[in-house]
Amino acid sequence: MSIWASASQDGRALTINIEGRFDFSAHQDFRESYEKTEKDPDEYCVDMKETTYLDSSALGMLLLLRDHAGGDSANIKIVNCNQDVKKILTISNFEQLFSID
Amino acid sequence: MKILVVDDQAANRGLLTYLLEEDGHEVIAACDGYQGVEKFDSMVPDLVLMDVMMPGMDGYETAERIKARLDKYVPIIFLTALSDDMSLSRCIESGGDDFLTKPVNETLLTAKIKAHERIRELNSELSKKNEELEKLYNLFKQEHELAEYVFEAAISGQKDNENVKKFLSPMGGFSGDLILVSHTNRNSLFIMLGDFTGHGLPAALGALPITQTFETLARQGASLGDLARQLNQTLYTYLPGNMFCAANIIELNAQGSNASCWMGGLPDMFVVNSQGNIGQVLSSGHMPLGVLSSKSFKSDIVDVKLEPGERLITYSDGVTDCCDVNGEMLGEPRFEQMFDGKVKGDALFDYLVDQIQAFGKGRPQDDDVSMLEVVARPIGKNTAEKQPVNMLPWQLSTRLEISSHREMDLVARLLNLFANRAWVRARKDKIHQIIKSQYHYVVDQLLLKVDWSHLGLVEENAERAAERSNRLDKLADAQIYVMIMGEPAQAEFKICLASRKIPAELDLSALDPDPFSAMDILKASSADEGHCIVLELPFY
Repeated sequence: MSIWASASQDGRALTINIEGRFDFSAHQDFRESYEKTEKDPDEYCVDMKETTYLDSSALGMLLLLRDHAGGDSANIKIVNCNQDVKKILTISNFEQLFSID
Repeated sequence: MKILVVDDQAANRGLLTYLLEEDGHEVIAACDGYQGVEKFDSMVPDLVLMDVMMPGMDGYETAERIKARLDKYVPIIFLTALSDDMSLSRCIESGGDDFLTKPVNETLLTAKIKAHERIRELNSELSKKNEELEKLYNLFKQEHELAEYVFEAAISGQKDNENVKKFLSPMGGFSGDLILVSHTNRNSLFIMLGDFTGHGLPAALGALPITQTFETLARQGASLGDLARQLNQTLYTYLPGNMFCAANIIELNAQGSNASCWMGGLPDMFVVNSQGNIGQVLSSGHMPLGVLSSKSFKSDIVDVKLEPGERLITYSDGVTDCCDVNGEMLGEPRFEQMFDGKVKGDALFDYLVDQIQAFGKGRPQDDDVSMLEVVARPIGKNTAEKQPVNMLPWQLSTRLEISSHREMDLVARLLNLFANRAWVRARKDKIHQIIKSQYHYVVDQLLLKVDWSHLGLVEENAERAAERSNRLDKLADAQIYVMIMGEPAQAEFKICLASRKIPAELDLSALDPDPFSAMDILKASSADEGHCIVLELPFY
């Protein structure tokens, strides 16, 4: 599992990539990926292209990111989910809080 | 340091004492092995310098005796004139930690003592840490036992039930999965399967407030929607933002013919027919409990009609994520294949449990695993205490002025006027639905005389509400009389609505409590039209 984040040039958008299993062991790395930014971005993108698995702790971490990004006013996209990952997000109805592609 | 010197030669003792005291150590001298052991016991030194060749008891034996009574690390350094390998290795075998050859070199002696002092310090630090660790471990064990006791006590009210079969296999001592079953005061059953984020004690923590809320609301006879809402609010309040509980909450009616379901975040629930095949698949329509604030929470319920012998199967993702010895997951397709009709009826559930356990055999669980089955059969006698119904007939009447009709949540506010009665609360979802449809019927059909069908609007929505508000604006005066009555003796609940466009003072309390004749009076006193509905709802 590895997580890395990259900010757009103007710093307004942050993309977080997650590779491998996204579970409780990713807690620290995931948190650091968005807490270490120089200025708070307006929008976040969680790229799950390389993500193979999600557990409920991962869903919890996404909720924490949402709180960090302003709760109801947060602008977070979750993109490139494979079918298994998408299914887990759908069962929990996460599309109510996140934009999921 | 306090150093014990054991040597039979007075000259050697004198020299060593001199050298050691020079370096600031405290010296205890013993002239043979016996005295050495004795002084070791009485003076408790930090280091021992031991001569090998002594009359009576030699240095090897003395060292063995001293080491045998030690409960902490005290280094023994042998001083020996013998320098052959055998003699030196015997020094170590008999319990010595080091050796120096005679004649003693002062620099070497000081260096060795310093080195052993360092080891001794490390050792005492280590044993101090060990002690602390042991204390902490004991404390941890005690606290765990206490927590286990509290959880047992909280969940022990859960009795076996002929309508519900449960399988719960926690990964460790505490389960983050939870199964709750409780009789309601209307002889239906509340059933819940929940899966908290994570595992172990932190995951199990949420079970305490949930169990309390669940049992209290069942006793009070809350509606299923209100139960879900309250459980959500409890977890929203108690748990941090990244923790929640995926759950299916089911109410099985007394006849066992209908299951109302609130589904949030658990895998699909199956309706299994009497042939043992999956008939209907019900998918989660909500977010897990504890994620959304009350404001955004939705308590919509799905109703499922059940034929006798049909059963509902719901499970946590620990079932399908369970792995075999090679690390391969069971997966949904393989799980659904178990419903191929080979096993059906009452044998099905145990068969499923056996299959799941056989699949995961030989590999430690990665997650809590749980599953439950609800069987469609009339609910057995409620063993829980029933609350006696001792309710007087009651009646609520109110007159709504034109301004009230534009409020979106008017029906909900109306309901709140009398919904604190336990009997009403239990049926709140249904009564709300009926009053709403009746109210709209009266306003639209009788007062405003509009027919929505030409607008193609069937459902109540914002467009329709706007149109209604628009039309109400054009109306100078309009009132709606609402009369709602509960008749416990007749097991009846009456809702009566009447409209009229000309306001008139009319004493509603003078009306006949029978809504039909009340309607007549309203008509007689120039009400335009009325509408009335009588619901038969059992009291108990």
